[in-house]
Amino acid sequence: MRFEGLFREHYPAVRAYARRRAPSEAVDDIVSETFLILWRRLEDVPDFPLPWLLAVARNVAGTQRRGSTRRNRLWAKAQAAHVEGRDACEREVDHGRVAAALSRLSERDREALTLVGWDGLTPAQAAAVIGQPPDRFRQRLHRAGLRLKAQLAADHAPEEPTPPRHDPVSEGVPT
Amino acid sequence: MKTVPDLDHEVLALIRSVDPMLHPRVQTDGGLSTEAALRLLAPKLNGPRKSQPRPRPRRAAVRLVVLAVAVGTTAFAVANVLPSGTGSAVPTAQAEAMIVRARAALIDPPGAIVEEDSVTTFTAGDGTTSTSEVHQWTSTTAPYDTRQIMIEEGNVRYESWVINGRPDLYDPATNTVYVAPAHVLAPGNLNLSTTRAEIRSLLNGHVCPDGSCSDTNITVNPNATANDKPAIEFTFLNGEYSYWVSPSDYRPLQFEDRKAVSPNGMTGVALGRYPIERLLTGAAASHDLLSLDAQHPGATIDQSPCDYWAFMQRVIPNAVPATGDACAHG
Repeated sequence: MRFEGLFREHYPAVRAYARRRAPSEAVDDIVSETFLILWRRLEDVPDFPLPWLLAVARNVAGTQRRGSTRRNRLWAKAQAAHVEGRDACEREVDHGRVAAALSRLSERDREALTLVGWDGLTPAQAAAVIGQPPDRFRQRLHRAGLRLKAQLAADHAPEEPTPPRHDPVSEGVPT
Repeated sequence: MKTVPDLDHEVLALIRSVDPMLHPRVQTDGGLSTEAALRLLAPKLNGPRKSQPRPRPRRAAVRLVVLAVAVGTTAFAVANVLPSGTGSAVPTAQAEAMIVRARAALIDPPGAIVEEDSVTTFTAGDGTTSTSEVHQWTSTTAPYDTRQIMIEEGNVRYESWVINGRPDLYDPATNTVYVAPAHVLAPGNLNLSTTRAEIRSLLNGHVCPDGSCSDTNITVNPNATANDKPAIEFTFLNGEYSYWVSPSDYRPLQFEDRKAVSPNGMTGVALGRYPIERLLTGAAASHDLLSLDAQHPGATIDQSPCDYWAFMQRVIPNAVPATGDACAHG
């Protein structure tokens, strides 16, 4: 059956795509919805389906984000901020400089770089995911790379002295 | 012909080095295996496959950029208006007019501040209820600085701020401001930080490349009531949640989120009302409302990233995963 073949071949990549970009509790829903859309639209799936599938996953994640914005806002914006800043402390230790530079880029730049760097797509495939002509995407990718380098170079500039750290009362705070 | 070089190996290696999939915690959380995921999905594949219309060629529309997006989003919303299941059927033209008027009425002038106070009652699946209140001020000018006071069961739990995209936290118990780590930037969707902006965005519908987005229908009930007052009800995301707005000025009155998730991870229904929802302009739109210094002039400023995450974990237990040894206080 064609669907099962496609599922087995592309499930790991679609799941990794979602896992990299969405809160862990949302990943299974995004992947499941993505493959349901594949099921419904098997006739539309191109011969090399991964970019198509990631485009679907991207839209499903976007829809989820809209819904979850409502929920996040109910409780705290900070929760949404966490999605961006997850594992900040670990990354500061190992790759803080690169992660910081990447996070300072625009969402467009970051998306271009990570589709290629994390998801292993060629520029033409990544262009298909975001619905952009390949030549324009290549320019976007190139500029994003330059901006990442510029951010990293800026990190080497002398930093302003940080204010003395206060140790807040870390215990006894009501929860 | 001049060609643009692809990413150089150095940049590529740097990006790969911060791939979240390389993180030990993410690797541990491998999720379902392929076969298990396929078995889980199988029951949903038993029904007949829906035949969907092929998307229209969109190249021309892409060229028209702004106009096409504006027209296209309205058309999408209108095309998906259905009679409400609970109210009287709405002729498409009437629903279209309501959507267009609501979108226009909900556009905020620059230089103003939106003040809203939402009181939400959350009813969990087991019937237990809890009440939370969020009092919020949001600038209508980029970067949309925001201040929120989170109140639970009548007590101020914490404040959060997003100033120039940086989400700081304030602990009233210790009069401490936890400054967000420099690389923690609020995601772009925080621009949708007021209810009126959110409704406007939802009414815009979706713009999906190749028609590959999931379906979203908007239903309209012009004869609804909210808190015993006449209201227009817009329902989004296949009935997942509704907003009720004033029929006179489209001001948000009430919402119901039927798939809400509480801070401790419980699912249930959230019903919220807006005792205050107004646009502050002129002198009333004082930036002091959004100023950390003006609101908490004597607060201790804590710049430690790990203290920041630790505080967030205390006030939003479900929001932050274990931060590991790297954040242990040395």
